[in-house]
Amino acid sequence: MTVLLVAAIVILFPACLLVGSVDIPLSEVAKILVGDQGANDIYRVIVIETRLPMALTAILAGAALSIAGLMLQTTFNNHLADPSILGISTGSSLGVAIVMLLFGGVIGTGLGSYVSVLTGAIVGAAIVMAVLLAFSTIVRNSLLLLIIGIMISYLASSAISLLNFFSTQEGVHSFVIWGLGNFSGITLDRLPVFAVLTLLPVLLSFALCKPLNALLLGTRYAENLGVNIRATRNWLITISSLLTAVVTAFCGPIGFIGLMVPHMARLMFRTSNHSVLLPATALSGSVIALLCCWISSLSPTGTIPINAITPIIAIPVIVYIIINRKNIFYFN
Amino acid sequence: MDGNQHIEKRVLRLEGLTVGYHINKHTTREVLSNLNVELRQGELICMLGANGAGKSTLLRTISGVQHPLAGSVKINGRDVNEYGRRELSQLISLVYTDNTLAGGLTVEELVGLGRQPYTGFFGRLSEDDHRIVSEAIAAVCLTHKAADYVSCLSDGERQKAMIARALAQETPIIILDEPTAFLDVASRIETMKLLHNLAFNNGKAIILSSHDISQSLMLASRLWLITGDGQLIDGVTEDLVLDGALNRLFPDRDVTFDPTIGDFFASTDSHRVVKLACHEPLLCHWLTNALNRNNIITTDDADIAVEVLGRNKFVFDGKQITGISSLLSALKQHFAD
Repeated sequence: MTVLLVAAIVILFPACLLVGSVDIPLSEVAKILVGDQGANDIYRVIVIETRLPMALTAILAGAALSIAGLMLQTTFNNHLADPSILGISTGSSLGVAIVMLLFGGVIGTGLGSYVSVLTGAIVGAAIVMAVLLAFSTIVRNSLLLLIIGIMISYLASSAISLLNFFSTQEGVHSFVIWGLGNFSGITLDRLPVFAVLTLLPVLLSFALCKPLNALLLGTRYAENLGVNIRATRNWLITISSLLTAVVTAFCGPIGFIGLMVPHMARLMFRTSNHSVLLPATALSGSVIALLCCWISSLSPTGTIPINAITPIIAIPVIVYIIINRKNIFYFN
Repeated sequence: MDGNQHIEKRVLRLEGLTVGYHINKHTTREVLSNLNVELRQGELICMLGANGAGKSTLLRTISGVQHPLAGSVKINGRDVNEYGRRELSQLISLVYTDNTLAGGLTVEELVGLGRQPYTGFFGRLSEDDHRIVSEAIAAVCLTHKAADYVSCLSDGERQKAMIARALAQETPIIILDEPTAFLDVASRIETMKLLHNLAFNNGKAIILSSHDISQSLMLASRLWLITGDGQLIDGVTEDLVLDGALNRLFPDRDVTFDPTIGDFFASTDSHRVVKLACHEPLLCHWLTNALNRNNIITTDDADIAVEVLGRNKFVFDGKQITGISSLLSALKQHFAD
């Protein structure tokens, strides 16, 4: 399965560099990638400055969102948990909206505005996570908790609508565009920052493999196995909100990848064991995000919003899983 | 090893233990108060009591999950809440009937989780750990299912797998909250027998809560009866049965404990009484059962009598009757008049 996923990346990654509003022949792309000086300069700018960072962003964002989804599913003991359903993405969006609409109006290109948008996203996500966690100690039923997450999501959405209502036209426009989701907002020189901010929490999540496996049995059993529940939960929440917030700040609130990909990884690798599942989920997430990225670039008239594509790919898979849950090995 | 050789060592002791809840800062609700009992190696204790009597609360307090309101739980002489997380996980293992997300683990992986108190940061199992896991799986007779997913197991097998996980944890004490709750009769008996063997042959000290009176009476070394008025009666199973202590389990309910059969039955208070003259105990038992079901009580000082001549031959009211069904009709007719 690992081979299959790696092969998918090897095919999809160059495919993402090939498509877009300008037709660039495969031979030219190859020349540019190996650093051949004979390549067309305009093509070089397009591939190196636009398409390459977009594909790399997709790989990182897909892995980050999927890992966040997997950690949330285990933390809340619910197979339908994910950053967008639980309202963490929306919380993040609200943070971004406050920064964008209340303070700046328009996203600047300067580093300062990036940092403030990122901070807004992280604070928003963390607040929603903290509220959810507080509720999780009162509401033991994980389905009810999911519904509370959906409510929080609506609450944050209505706050965003209010902000939009009282904001300037340019502010609303840039916020709406950001909210559609895209992998093309990160320039080549900002990519290292995004890479560090996503890869670091992904690597940290691998260190939580042992308590995550214990949590499959529920908190009572995990506690009996010597897991420090409070510390572990805090870590899980910090890491998953950080992952969600970073991706949301840079790419917009992208739904469904975090929900679907962990299921895809479980089905492909036939296990719930996190020591296999975490890397498998990260890899599968990159593949799905690259696929979305490729599809979004297929239109000659411009980039299709990512959030228009993810539900088309993810919802059939999720519905299939829900309908077939009796026959799927990892459901009880 | 044959027989019980570990019985001497005391592993757990409740000292003046009061369990319950803090309702708010100033008020508490005591569920059970001033308990003084102990648990020795090789003992299987069945805790019986009505729903809501406080069985789970007591088990939670013993396992250190919940703090006592007063008194203490001592394991090997030291307060349970003084142990570190990891130390405690090497002393007590728990088995619940919680739903888990563990369906996608194999039995081997699930039981392997029991080694977590001993493994390093990433939870990798050593060769020794693998051996202990295989032994635990063998002890619950699931070796043929070791590679199967937990989701493919029956309820009984799943419970056995959870017990194997507790065994892999290698703790002297195992606590189980209603381990046989959702099982069919065969699985219930197998599970109880398994737990009994673990206590008797392997010297584990086991406490379990149960509603299965007959299995508990057969296999428990001691009973802890949680009465409706917040007391715990501790004693050797047979002593408690013979002293009539079991009737204190459900004081204001319409059930009575029958010490000859060893189970609870609906209380019968009918004015329809007969004397059953019968010499064969088995036949006598089931005839009484049939009469009780029809609201007729058997006593030796009744005015009317049924004489039992054989499996299907009875004499009642001077007439010979064939078959239990006909006997019941005749009696019903008699009482209706």
